[in-house]
Amino acid sequence: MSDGPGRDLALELVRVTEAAALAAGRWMGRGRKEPGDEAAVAAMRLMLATVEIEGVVVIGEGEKDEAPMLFNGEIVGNGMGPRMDVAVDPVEGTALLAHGRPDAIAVIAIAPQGTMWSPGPAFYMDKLVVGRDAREAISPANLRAPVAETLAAIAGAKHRPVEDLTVFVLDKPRHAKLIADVRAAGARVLLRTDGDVAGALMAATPGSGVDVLMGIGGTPEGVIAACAVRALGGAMLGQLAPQKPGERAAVIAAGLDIDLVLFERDLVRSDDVFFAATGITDGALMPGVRYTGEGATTDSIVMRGKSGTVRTIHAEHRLEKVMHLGPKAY
Amino acid sequence: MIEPMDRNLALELVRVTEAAALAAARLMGRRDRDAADQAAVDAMRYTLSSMEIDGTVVIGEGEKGETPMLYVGERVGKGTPPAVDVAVDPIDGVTLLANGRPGALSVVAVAERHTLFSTHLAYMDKIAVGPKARGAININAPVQENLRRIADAEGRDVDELTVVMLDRPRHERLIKEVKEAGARIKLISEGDVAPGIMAAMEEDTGIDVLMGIGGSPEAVLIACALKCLGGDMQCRLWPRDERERQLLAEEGRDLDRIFTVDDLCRGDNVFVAVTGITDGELLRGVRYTGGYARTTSLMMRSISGGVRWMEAKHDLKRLREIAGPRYEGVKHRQAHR
Repeated sequence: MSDGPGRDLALELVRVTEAAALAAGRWMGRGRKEPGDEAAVAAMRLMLATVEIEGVVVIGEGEKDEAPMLFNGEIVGNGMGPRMDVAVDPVEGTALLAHGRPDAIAVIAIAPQGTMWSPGPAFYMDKLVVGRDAREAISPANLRAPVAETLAAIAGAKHRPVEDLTVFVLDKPRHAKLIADVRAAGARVLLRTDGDVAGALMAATPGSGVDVLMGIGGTPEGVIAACAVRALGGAMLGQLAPQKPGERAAVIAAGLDIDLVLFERDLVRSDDVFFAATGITDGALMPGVRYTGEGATTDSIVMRGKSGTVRTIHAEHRLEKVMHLGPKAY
Repeated sequence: MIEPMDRNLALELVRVTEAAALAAARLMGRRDRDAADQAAVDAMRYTLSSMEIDGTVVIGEGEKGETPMLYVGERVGKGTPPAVDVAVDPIDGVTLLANGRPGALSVVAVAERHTLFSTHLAYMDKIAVGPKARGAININAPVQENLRRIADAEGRDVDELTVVMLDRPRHERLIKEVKEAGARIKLISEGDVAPGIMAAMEEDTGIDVLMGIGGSPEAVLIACALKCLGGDMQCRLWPRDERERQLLAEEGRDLDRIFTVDDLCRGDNVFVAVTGITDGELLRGVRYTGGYARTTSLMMRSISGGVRWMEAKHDLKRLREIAGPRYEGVKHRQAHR
């Protein structure tokens, strides 16, 4: 007799990101980053305790002494299922949330133990992300090649002119040249102040309106994004790009190779990967949390790498009923 | 200390109805009901086997011996707790599917062990409404009175209500009475689970009341959905012939007994998943797009009262690597050519 198709943990993970989003959504536009993040962390951690995994946080809120919950190394899950690496970002884009800007999301990714790349002291990473249809168009050389050349290759694979491409770039001073180069190449630019996991997710999702993600963002975010890119069948390149004072020395001291170009399959070395994201503020990917008086609605996207199944979930939560079960944090 | 929430089985159940829908949808419009049903049953059985439940089918494809899979009494799942009753309807509206008509869907409900009602009688007389009209219905009262009370509870006129029922000769009198009361009527050829769910939804689905005689298994599935959505229903057993009258006596049941939602579904922790097979008013059907298939589903849970709508994009090549041709209904297409 057959054992069936195996478990889709992504379907359990969506409750984790929904909980984080419901808690964080209350803090939209209130000007402060910390309370929204704290609320999301608490809700995420509570719900994560129900997921049937023996999980270890490998990408969390920080080191044990600086983060009370979901710190790196914390054991999560109900301890009964498979051993998994867990990467979380309860509020991806805390500044977006604090200022009521689009595309703040709650995200989580899990993969078999030992398969997620460990960023160590590396804060920053140069990234290039495309969807499935442009997979074959990019190679490690593209992280150093002229932007126009890379965009031309991507446009070629997509059978359209460069003018029809939209490139997601974080709006940071370090990207002044990159943005100028993209503009000079003729592509459209989507500038966002924060949130390059959402950007990577869009770049890897066909029909999202974003075709490419370029530029330097967080290394931990790069690992989370790689999980989604892998499940979506897209391609991602990443190379450490130290920006903070002392970061380069720390990265080298930790034995990390600054010249090495990592693919999505290096950043997460298994296709048995699960990913879930829930919108907190309205965004291009999905609507944010809406409160209705009696409850709230959330919109999420979940994926399973092995099967390639991608699900979007619109949930109607009745807060009155959920309260009996969960934290007042909602 | 707050107890963390336990598993939401509805989220796992959706894979079961998705699998049945993906397999069955391949046989749309081929006028082969048996092949479609077999394809759905096979796929449903396969996905149920990896669920971490100790399940017993209480509403299935038939009695043991009559049917090889998903028969009443069959144990499904991995056998690990929780112990649950499982009600399946791999294809609600198999004739709709076989003829390529709208409204075929796949549905599964799960509740605590020994909490779902079952009977050997095929039919029940039903009246079902949404949360606003809770407490307003009485299956023994005249149709006109029921409709007036439902309209009052919902704050509108009787002529603004839409009543759905199966288009059967047995409903001639019911149709006449609804007409006289002034409500609008929607006649369906088959499959009253979806209209039952739509009647129970708080939002404007275009259906306000489900009335008339339909399947008993479907009544239980609707009751499970109502438990999640907060609607109301009353049912009575309806023996169609002398043999079923005897069955009624053998089961020690009473024609006058009114079955409420709680009688049909006594559980407090109930989960329901539904996936569209052909396009319908509640859900879109399966769509195929070059290597991918899209499904649309609905999931509910009684405890949290949460409803989730899901659209899934399935990578057919990768699914084949995992499950072989089970999601494709291919074997059945060939076998019944």
